[in-house]
Amino acid sequence: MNKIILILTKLIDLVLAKLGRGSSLPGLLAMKFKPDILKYFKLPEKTIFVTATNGKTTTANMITQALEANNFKVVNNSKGANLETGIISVLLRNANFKGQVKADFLVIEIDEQTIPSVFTKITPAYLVINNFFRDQLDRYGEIDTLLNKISESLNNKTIVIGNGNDPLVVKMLKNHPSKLFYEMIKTPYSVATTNQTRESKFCPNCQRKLSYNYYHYAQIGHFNCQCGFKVPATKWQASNIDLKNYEMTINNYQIHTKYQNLYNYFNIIPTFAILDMYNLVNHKSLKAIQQFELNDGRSENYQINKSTVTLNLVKNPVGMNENINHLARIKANEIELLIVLNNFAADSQDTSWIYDCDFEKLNELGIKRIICSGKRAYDIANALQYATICKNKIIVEENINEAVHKFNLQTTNEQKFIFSTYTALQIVRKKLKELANANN
Amino acid sequence: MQTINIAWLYDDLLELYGDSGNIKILEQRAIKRNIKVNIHRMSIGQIKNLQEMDMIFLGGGSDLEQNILAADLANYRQDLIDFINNDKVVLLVCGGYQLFGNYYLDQNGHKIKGLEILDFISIAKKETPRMIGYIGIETSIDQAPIIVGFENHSGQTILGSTLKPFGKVIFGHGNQFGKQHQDEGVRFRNCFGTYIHGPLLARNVDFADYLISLILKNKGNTIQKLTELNDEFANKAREVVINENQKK
Repeated sequence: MNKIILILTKLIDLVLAKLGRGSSLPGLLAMKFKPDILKYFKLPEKTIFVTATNGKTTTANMITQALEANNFKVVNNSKGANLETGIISVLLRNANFKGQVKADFLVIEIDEQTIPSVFTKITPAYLVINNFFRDQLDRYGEIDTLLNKISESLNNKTIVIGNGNDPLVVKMLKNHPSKLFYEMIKTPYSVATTNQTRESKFCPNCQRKLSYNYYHYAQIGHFNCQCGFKVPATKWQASNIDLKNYEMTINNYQIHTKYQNLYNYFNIIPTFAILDMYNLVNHKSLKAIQQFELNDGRSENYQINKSTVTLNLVKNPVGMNENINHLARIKANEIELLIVLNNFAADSQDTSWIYDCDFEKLNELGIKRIICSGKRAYDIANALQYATICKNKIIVEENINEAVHKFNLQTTNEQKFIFSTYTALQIVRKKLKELANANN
Repeated sequence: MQTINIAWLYDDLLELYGDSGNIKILEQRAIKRNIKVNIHRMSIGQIKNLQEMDMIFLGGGSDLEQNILAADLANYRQDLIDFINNDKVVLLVCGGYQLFGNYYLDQNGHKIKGLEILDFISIAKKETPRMIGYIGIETSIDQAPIIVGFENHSGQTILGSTLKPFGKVIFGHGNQFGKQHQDEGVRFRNCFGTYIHGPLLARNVDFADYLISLILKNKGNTIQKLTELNDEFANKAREVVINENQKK
């Protein structure tokens, strides 16, 4: 029976592939008829799963590209189909009719909520966990429940590489025997206080007040509690973070990157860690990291009308706030910003989270104009108004294409910024590409 | 210049859904009417001088947080009862709302005692789906007849026979799952309990103004109407939600 389902769905996928289409349909069908179909694939021994609330796609792709730079064959779900159906679809696409995925490495980005189900069927060699943030509560309920579920689903054989600066990651791994941690030590960008979220205030171990020597952002930082809960001993330490010069040091290696956002440096550290575990910290890998650019709305740049337009995906207050903090770090002023807020299921139907964003900081930097677009354009405009941003600087244009067009009409600032939620991202990118090409 | 004092209880524990936006919105709207606002953040072991406050606000949080603070808040039960009976304004969202009832029965059958200030109970049943989605209600408040927002709760609240709801459901679930139940939240005197996030006041600035005018009235202020503000964004945001949902 297993073989038949596998063969059938593989056939369907073949047809789709011939038609030049990728989709989660084979995965959906497979799951419908055989929910535990993932058990029946024969996967490479070097299987790495990557999860985080923010940064999965970037990290998984960076790991993949570094491995490929070393001439390894890697199968991955690079486009970010990270739910169970998407993962099944990727495996179907890359497996033969016996269910064998023939590759040196399998690198899979996985949505946190999907881990409990998938890990009853697959035991990867490694799981990378970068962070847990409050995200899309209307989809996922509460963080505490999720962390318990993930913890229970971990097999002792899976080595978990976790962010030692995240108290939630550290707590979640409390009872897991095979784990290694990384951290970023104090940087010139470290702060004494943080945007207050519950996760940074209370010790997940004993619920007393959690202390920090410094914060990097949100609850990520050097924490400690009187109960003894603190940043664990780490195998990898990132230091000498220099955003201006696009570099940092990890365990005596100098790392160069194209990124300037602090949170992307947190994606590089676990990439380095995985490479280190496979003895692949070498010139080819470091060059791949240096050249890595995911684009797809992750610090993606377009040249339009003599301006550089930087597009970033935003999914939750942490991501939004870090993008705002980035503007502060590069000392942006007279900012031109386009915010596209949709609220389809993948974006989070509920838009309450925008009131946990620190838009007041934009005001401190100086704003030329902010265009608000998407299904919830008026909501984001409203939130900005209550962040004391002058109403006449806020322009609402619900139609996304119109908004992107309007945004790029005037050539004023050398640098402009776009923050977009998930479902609007490809629409924005398509329009930006059009405009960039029209220029040239 | 008028000054109003708002007690924001357990702001560090109960801030799950952007509910802090409610405080921001109230404050901004008051300031624009030349009213000074003092926000008193009080957490565990810090609550005092409630009788000097003009309004109390409690937001929503996860079960973990609510259990932690319930024991502390119980110390002020009589102060809260007096506050409410003096017609002072109380706004309770989600978890804060549930706390003021008799008890909360969770999905595993554990009964968590409430403050027993208002006569209602909340029950979470495993077999009932979580109530998540946009919600619109009709209130009996002339100044704020329609309120819209987003609900996300597994607890179903059953009001005692003498209690009135905050509003009647136009779309969404409200206190209980199922179309036969039409009530949302609770209103007793000027104590409002609701499951509505958004945050609540974001799209319903007329209700925010209603709360401000209640506060001013309690302080003996005879202003009939607050000066109008430019609420284009908030009103349009509400319209969008109504248009999306009324067809259902």
